[in-house]
Amino acid sequence: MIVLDEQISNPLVLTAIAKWYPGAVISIREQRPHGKILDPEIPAFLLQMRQPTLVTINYRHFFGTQFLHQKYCIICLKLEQRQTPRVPELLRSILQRPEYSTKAQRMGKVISWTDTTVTHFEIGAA
Amino acid sequence: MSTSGTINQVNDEPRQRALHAAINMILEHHFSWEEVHREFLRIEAERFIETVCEEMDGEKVEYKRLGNYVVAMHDLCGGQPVIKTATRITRINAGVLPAWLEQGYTPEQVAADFDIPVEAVLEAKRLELLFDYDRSYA
Repeated sequence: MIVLDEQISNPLVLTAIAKWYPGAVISIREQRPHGKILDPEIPAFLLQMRQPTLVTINYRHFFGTQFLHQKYCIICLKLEQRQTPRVPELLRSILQRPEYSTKAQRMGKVISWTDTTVTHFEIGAA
Repeated sequence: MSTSGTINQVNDEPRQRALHAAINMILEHHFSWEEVHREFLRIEAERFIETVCEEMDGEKVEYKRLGNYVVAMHDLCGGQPVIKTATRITRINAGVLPAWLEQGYTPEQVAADFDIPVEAVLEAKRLELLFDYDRSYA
């Protein structure tokens, strides 16, 4: 399951991803339609789902070791807000990489995409 | 009020310092006039940011009000400006809305896609001159 952070959850992005991704593609907002969803609350939402991969452009807050968990994956795209229409193509390129192509490979990782590199933190890695 | 005059005729000391800083930015650091103008608009705009406390969805929330719809909240998108509606403070960064407008979508389409009022889209576009949407305000 792909879970999009709300700032990249619009029908165009959801539909573009759903065209090539075989599983469900949802918005984090579906977890709480009203009120607010704070950054630190997101891991609890992810733990209610089965093997989710969260995609966010909130890079500074999410890329690091603090949100590592065996039961989900977070993909942090270092994109300027103006570049959000690029999210579907970037996500596809990341998920086509052999090290991230299956859910089992992604779980327990926080993946970073920048213009120059794709890297990750991983549970248990030194 | 007259707007003409030389820098040394400006009696407002902070403003005089600001003008000198602006000239320094242009002469020493080769900023364009547009860059200097934008920077000073942003500095001025920050003076108008208010802290607001209100009840939403049964709980008290405190946020920085940058506009009627553009707000910033601690621990929400890292404090970057986001869109607030009557019922929710979204995780929609204000900066993503102008991006979709630039892709050729109308404000009405963008508003419908993100389930927010059209006025919020228009305000996000308008305030992008005054605030740096990639920085934290809360």
